[in-house]
Amino acid sequence: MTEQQTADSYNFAYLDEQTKRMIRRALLKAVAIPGYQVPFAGREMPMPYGWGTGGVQVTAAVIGPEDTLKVIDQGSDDTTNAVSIRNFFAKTAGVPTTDKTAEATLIQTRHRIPEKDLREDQILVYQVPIPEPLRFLEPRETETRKMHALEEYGLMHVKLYEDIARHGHIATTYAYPVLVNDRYVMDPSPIPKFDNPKMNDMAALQLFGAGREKRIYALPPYTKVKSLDFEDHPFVIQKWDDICGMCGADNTFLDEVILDDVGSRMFVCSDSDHCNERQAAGHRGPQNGDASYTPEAAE
Amino acid sequence: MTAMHNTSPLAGFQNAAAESNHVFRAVLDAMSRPGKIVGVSDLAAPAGLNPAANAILLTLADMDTPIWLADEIATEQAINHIRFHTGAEVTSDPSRALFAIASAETAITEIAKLSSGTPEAPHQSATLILLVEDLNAAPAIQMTGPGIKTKETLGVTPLPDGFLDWAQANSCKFPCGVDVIFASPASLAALPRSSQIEVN
Ligand SMILES: [Zn+2]
Repeated sequence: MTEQQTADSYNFAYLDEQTKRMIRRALLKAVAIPGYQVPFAGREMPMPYGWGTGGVQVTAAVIGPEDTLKVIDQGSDDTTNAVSIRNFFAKTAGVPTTDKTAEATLIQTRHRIPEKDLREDQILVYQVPIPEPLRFLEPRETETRKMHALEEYGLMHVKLYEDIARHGHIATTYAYPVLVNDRYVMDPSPIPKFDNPKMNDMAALQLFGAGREKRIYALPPYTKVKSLDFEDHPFVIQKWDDICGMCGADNTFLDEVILDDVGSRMFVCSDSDHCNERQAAGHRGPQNGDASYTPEAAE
Repeated sequence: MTAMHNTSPLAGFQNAAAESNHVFRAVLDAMSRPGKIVGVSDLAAPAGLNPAANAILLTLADMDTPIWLADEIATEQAINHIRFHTGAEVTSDPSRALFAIASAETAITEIAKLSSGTPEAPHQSATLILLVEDLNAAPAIQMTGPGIKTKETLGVTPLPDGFLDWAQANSCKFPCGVDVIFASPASLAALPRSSQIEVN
């Protein structure tokens, strides 16, 4: 091996090979123990925490020259965060990037799961701010580790039940806790609970990286993922009275957009690729040329 | 040592980043989909190892991962090769190993000494790389669990005596347990602790 070859390959995807080995070993154990948080010796990345350094480290350890990368933030490929992470890997790994969910082999995400069903040949990497679902109940890591070991999840149910006592329903709408493979309670990262059912039995491998707390966890494909709930208060996802103003979709996660300073507003798909694809296929919403819109006609 | 046997390390990866990524993705794919047979590149292996097992060690082992080699695998060349390329300690104590290399000749009582981790740290467990001659889709072992849509079947030959009983007991320890990678010369398949197995 020549000096030149070493220099060229050493920093593929920024991380050195030693760090990648350590992250890769953690990833394999995470896959073998679905939902369990594996500690790893995280590295400083050339971006601030909150920019998804955990997800970036996982992506850097996984990505290869044959991958096509997509990066989304709140469903959009065009936020500063998504653009900077995408450019980082385009530069350090030389891989092609895409906005299109269907064309990506590796998708790094913050706060959403794409609307389009993912495939077996795709990997979804989540950026995680707080990996420990029990942290707000118990600040000590030694204690939460014990609680997971003993499956002591009663307090988590008490917390959700307090929601019901206070609000009449479970008020948690983001980072809604799930039970993985009937064993570990897991934080799905701050995705809307609308996305929770997509994690269950997903064909793609799902990997989670928390940079500040240095934890990696995983969901193998076709793994049972159940949102915590109660018999008398079953888990339900968010629903909207509106449909997407641009593409007319009635089954997607919608963001509210303020149109002017007199309060006109519309709802649009949070997943911009999905919305664009539907519009390209001729679907139209009420704010986008579908003058005949009625809720019935949209079905 | 005799002059008849080459005890020197063989060459490692030509391009470490690209080749180790390729091998890692193969292992990740296999571990994520228990029973799936995945091809790996044919890097020449030292006496005792086979190409797939060699590639896995060069990809994942380093000074933080003690390696245990069963007697029939622990040739002088294999030990020199592993030390040279990975910097890993080769230990004679299976209970300290994070990677263990064994074969059908290995006594199951040795494999049973591998670490399963603890309930609070189940990830601190060994990964067993089992050298085999052939992997195929014969319905010898039926597997269910995470990573498997309905049911997966895997044929593995040869296996150590008592291996399937050990593997069934291993999966009962979940979340503790040993994760197994079957390494035939040119392909690999995995049996993580999360898989339940039925033997036909
Ligand atoms: Zn839309």
